[in-house]
Amino acid sequence: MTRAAIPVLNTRRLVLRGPEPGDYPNFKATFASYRSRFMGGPLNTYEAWMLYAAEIGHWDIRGFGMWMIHDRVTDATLGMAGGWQPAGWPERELAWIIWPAAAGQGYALEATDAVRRHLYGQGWTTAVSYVDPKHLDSIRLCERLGARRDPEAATVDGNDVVYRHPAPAALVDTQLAYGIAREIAHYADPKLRPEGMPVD
Amino acid sequence: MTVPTLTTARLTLRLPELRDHAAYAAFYASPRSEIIGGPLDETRAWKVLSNDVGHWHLRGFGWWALDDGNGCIGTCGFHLPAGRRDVELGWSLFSATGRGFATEAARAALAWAGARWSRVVSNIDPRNDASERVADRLGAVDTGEHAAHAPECKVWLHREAAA
Repeated sequence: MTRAAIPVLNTRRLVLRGPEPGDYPNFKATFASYRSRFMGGPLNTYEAWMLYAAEIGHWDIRGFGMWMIHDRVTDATLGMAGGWQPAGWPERELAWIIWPAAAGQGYALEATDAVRRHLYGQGWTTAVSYVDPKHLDSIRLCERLGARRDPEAATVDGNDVVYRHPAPAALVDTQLAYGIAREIAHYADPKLRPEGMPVD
Repeated sequence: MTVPTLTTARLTLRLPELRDHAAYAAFYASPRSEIIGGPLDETRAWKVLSNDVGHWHLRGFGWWALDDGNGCIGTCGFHLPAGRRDVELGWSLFSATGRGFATEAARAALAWAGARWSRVVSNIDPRNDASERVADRLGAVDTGEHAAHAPECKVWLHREAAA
């Protein structure tokens, strides 16, 4: 798939577009930081640039890849989410990374949910995420997305654990789908804003 | 961005694709790749392939797959990763060595580049005799300098590009 043909995905707070050369600076900053420790980083300048080239090249080669996540209002980049399958990957993966300054606001959940629904719509019947077992935020996100440990599935290199995402049918009009939608909506429009000091 | 396809007497230079992965992986798994940083496992060889494709999008130039009509026999092209000063012309013959394919492809690449850059170099490990011969045939000269990012490599300057 050429870069121009990469579909644009819209969510309540986000716009997901194909990665552009101009989006590189925040990618580089993130992969130069400790934030990238569970994704092969930190990387030096050359390694980070080459990885970004690989992210873009993946789209041409596989026909799917990682989208750049933008804030719908400011257009600032917040991270990446999408499908990922280098050679040696046992299965197609759903992957994400959020820039450190944008963490904790539910962006990975909102983006990955949109990506997963899109890829399921494109004919994917299953998906996994390969997670470093020490990466607790990612494990927590897998669980929020309804993915569960799949001890039978092949790992990338034995140092990762495999989370299998719910099948497409499990995301249509189910309690799980409703729960995910509610959590995403809550980030955009919190129903409860705690005030003052918590009591116990 | 549309990647240009070049044709020579015996080769087509085209954008690398998924079907070329086996050729990349076989070359990078072999001892022949040691001189350029190999051997690499399948996933790392994939990264080279996806780098080669992505570079075109980031820079508007990059490496082509060399197709002899039966598939990919190697790669050749220009690259400029972050942190480098000079555009580099490089070539890797995965198979079909000793038949002048690298020279043929690199000549086509230089012709495509024309006067695009005032300075084009090739960084070559002095143990890589075959590659030095290609550079020599292309009219490049050994500057005697060592590449900053890879001190084991000598910097060859392409005169035609500088002219």
